[in-house]
Amino acid sequence: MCALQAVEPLVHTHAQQSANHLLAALPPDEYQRLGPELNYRPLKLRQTLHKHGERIGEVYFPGRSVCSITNTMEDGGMVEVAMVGREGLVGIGAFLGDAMSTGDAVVQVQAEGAQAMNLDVFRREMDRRGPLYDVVNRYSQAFVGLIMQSVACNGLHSAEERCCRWLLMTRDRVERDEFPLTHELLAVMLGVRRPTVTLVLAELQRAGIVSHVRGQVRIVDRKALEDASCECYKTTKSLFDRLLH
Amino acid sequence: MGARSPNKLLGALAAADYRRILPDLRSVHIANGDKLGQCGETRVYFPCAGLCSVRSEMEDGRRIEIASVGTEGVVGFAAITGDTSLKRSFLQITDGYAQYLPLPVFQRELARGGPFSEMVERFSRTFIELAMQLAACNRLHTLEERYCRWLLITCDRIGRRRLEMNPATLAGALGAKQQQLAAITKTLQNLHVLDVEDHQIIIFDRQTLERFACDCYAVMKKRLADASGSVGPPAEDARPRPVSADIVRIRPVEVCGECGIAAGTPHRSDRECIRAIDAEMKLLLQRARRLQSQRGKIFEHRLKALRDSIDKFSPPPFQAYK
Repeated sequence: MCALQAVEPLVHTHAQQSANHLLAALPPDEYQRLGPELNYRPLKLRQTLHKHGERIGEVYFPGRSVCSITNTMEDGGMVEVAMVGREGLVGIGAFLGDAMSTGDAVVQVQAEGAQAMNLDVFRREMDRRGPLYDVVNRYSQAFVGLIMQSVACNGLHSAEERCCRWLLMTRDRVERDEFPLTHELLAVMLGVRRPTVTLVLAELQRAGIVSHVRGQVRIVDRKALEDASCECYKTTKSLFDRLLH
Repeated sequence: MGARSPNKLLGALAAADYRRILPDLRSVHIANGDKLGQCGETRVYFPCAGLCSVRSEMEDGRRIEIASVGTEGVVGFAAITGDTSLKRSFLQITDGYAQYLPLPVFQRELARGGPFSEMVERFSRTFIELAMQLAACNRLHTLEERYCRWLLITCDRIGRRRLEMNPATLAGALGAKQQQLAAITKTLQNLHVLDVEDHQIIIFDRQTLERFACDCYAVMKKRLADASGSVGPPAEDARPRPVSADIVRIRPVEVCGECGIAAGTPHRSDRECIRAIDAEMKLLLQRARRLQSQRGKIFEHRLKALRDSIDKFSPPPFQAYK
């Protein structure tokens, strides 16, 4: 909570620059230079930005929205491995030397659009090793940390804990206590069956931690939600805070 | 030390670059089960023989393997393991040796750009792809499938069919309880897929193991092969394979810690344990009754055969003189 509040002023002073933290962290002249290369793209719910194994056309710097990087199994099973919001960019594969996407990137909660940059321009910027390279490089470390944490979390923690973690992470990215969410979506994200999600949400609702009405979830008691979540939330949050601010 | 390093990343360095880092490069022998000293803090390791398992540790002490790195890669730098502040342990799973560089030297080499940094980037990419597959696998697949997958991948990578592992290390690889893995190992032993001799796992029947493993094995194997060129099953052992098993599917074995009864999920309360024990007893009683009736039938059959033979060979009944 405190960390979030500490971040707020920084974001607002640069509000005229960009809603995305990576772009907001650039020096003003650098951002001005990149301005013509950044195109605003509205995001639609369930829009697929990148498909696994296909060439990345543009990298996206989202605003207050949440994109999920999911991995689909050969038998059709699917689970979220990472989440990207305003703190990062969609299309980290472009940074790692190959233009192919790793995993599917799908918009899950949409509030603001994204700024998109053409792949060739992005590559050119990375080769310049300027300020954008520095922030993207640091973000890529945090992103790997997030994936690694997912590996461990998915293997060790219960659906309840992971559900709380997902809600908290989404809340941090959209920066609102209320956002649209269906049980189906959450089930896919957590890699569990839908009835499990229904049970978990009902339990959280009974405890007065969240309320879920007509596809809108509202976080009532953030502190309790943090307590109910697994440690992975705090671990990844502190990692992101340190690397990106 | 004119020879090239067996590590693929170091081996790919141009001679001049290799000479430049040579003064800082040290070799160290690492025995099975050893931790890599100061890995990720001040050093990066390049495995030259053997396999290094990167594990994540939770606050409650539970561990799970998040990656394994062999001669194709490097362990201990931030872009690979996320961050040094995250609790990680770097553990060698087979005897081997590695070369290590101080972290600043490694970073200096990366910053120079060129083929070395490109190779490290490519390795990072493979590493991330494998991790994403693993993240999904850990969630969606059963412990049995993951255990078989892990055995196969690990044996492929070390190129042997024999793994020396103590149960705790093994459990730490899969984030499971030792008892759970022991139960699965027992099942696999009964199916003659593998055998365990004082902390050595020996795999007899790869094909059956592949059937039990999830699809992730094939996916991960392909990714590794794409990245490093040569990852394949090790040569066949000369050992004769024991009797083949007819059963194809293993029953999901997850044993409740309280009552020790196999169940899909561990029981949550004593009540559930008692019910499970009742159910198990019922099954056993049914089975016992069936066996008893079988036994009865066999006895009857034998008795009949005996009577028949007595009838056959006994002298004709005494006939009174007329």
